Amino acid sequence: MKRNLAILLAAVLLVSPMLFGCTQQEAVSPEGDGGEEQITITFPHWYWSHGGSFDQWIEGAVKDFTDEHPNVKVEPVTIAYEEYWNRLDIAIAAGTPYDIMAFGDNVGNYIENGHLLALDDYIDMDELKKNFNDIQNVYIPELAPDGKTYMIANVNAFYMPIYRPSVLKKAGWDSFPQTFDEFKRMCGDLQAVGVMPYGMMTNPGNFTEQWIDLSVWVIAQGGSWMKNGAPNFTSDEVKNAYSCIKELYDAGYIVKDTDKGTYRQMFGTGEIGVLIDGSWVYSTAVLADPSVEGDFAVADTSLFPANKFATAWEGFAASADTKYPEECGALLMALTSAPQMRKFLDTASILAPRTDIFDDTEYEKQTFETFPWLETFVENADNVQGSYPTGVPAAKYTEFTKIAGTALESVLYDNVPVDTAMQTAQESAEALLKS
Amino acid sequence: MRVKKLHAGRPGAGIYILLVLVCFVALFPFYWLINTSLQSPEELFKLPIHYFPTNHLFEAYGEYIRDSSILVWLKNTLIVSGTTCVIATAVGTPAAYALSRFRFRLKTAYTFLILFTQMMSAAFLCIPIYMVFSTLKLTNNLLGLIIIYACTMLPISIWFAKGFFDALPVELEEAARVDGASTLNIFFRILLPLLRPGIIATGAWIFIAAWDEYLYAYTMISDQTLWTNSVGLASYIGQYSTPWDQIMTGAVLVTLPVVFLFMYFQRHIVSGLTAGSVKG
Repeated sequence: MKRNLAILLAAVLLVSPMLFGCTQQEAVSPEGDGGEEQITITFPHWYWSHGGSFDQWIEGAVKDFTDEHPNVKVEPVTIAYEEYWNRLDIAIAAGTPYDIMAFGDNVGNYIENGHLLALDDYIDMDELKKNFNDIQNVYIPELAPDGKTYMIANVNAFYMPIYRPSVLKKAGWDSFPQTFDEFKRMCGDLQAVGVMPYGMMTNPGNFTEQWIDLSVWVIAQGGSWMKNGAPNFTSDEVKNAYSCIKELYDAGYIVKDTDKGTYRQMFGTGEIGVLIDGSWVYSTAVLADPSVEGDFAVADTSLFPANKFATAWEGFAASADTKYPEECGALLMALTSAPQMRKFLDTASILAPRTDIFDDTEYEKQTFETFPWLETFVENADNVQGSYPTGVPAAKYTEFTKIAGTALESVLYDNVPVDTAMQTAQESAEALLKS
Repeated sequence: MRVKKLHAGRPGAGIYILLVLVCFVALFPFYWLINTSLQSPEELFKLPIHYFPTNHLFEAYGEYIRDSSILVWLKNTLIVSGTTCVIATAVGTPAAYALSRFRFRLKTAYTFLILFTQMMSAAFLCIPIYMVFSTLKLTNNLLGLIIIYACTMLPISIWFAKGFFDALPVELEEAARVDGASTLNIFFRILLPLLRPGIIATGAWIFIAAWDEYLYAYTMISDQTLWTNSVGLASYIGQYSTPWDQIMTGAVLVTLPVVFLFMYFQRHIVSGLTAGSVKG
């Protein structure tokens, strides 16, 4: 009996240090150099652990900021991309939102629910108006009912046809096709030499990633998801977009059952012929296969007469509950400044929505020597159209994208005629907007 | 009624072929895991498929261990899983004994309550738990995670152990009581030694459940230095690319401790899981 009690006591003593030792200690921050209060800004992002140079850029950018602001500590919070907004939602629901957060075109929902800080009083609005393009000054403010600025964009994502010339040459093509019919012929030739012709997201249920790939085809034809404040699913352009995808899918020209990150890597290794994607594909492709350097090209065509390219964006915002709005504003301005965006371009091959990136002619020359294909992106910067369905309230955006994705799945998997699927989608979208 | 006798003859070749096929199907995914972990990123998606590794095992794994935080994740997971296992087993076993042997008021309600907690999924509970733990400053530390795991796995631990206690004849205890043994004596000196395989099986189950758990781990922990295996491996899935070779390498390394655990305790685990299946 006594022996058993002794064993029990020993077990409790053994476990106790583990329990108390596991508790994180509260850090006592020293005062800054000028005796100012030391503050900590929490900054979650997937860049911190993404690799492919994103982590290098963000670590360097934050270090440059904290060197200039020694009383500010930026606490990195690594959250994987797949789980990012779930974690944000949990933190917001628990009343412990992070100070700085990243968003894409899902920012509208967070603005409407009052979770984000209006930045107008904390950032240089003249700088934004003068040196940022329509993504910052038109598309993003459209998402805010009060017209204020809640986000500063750092990624200007527009989607153009990307290919490796050596892979097309293997299939007998010295240049990229200029029409959809030529594109189909090229796909057949690629397939004949064992290359999967085209990569886009068709996995069931992956509505978020399907949305931009669908938008690429709709906008390429000069179409739009909404027209005059009403859903536009039954327009010729949207129907044609779905019909084109259906043709490619049925012919076996589109990769199946593969996530986007994987098929971007497959493009890098030459297993997939064409992506319609953003400039970041270069840095991903080079990591997958270094021979991509010098063998990477962007086609100056959307395959249709309208010649428009879909665009999306990402950026940073601050929490409405942050205790440090001025410091957050300063950090956001620093992260999206011209010098930092040039570094971002150099390390991650991503264009920022700034109009002054290439004001430095020496930098411009150097960049186009390093990334010759980037000129095609820059030249087509005015041929873009936002993928966000203008007129759809932010709270209904996710449901709207599900309607588009569900229609695609019914066309591809259930062989529902495109006209029928678009009619169903139209009715669903109208009901959604009325509700 | 005539009872057909089972002849204990040597199994035919057909049985062996079937067993080999089943083993192949069961082991192939693990082989593929190792094979993928030993491919370079450029070769992962090339055709024809590489069925055999191209990198050297020790070099590839050594590089991964050096360049990643896998050892930190393993350490954190070991702390969390080990402590959870000890707590849940140490608390659950006496609780199971009480449920199995004692009669007390509201016993049925208490038993039902234990089962009821299992009807609530982690997805349902994680936000309220996060809110409470955030107020108690228990987020972003391993103690908070241990408390959650111990509480969520305790009901199952109690239920498993109760089954083992129920299988033991009451006459054993009655005989010991006649000889003057107290309840605690009976528990520690008679029942626990008999139930060792069952307790090990329960402990192993709890350890593995805590080892693999993801939802609470990624919700409660934001500090990279406190990540567990599951959160660490999930962090590889990026926005623009996913290094599958590294994910597979990490997956092999985090599987190994559980494999060794099973190998060491397999005799006890098997006898624990099958205890009571044959009345003797």
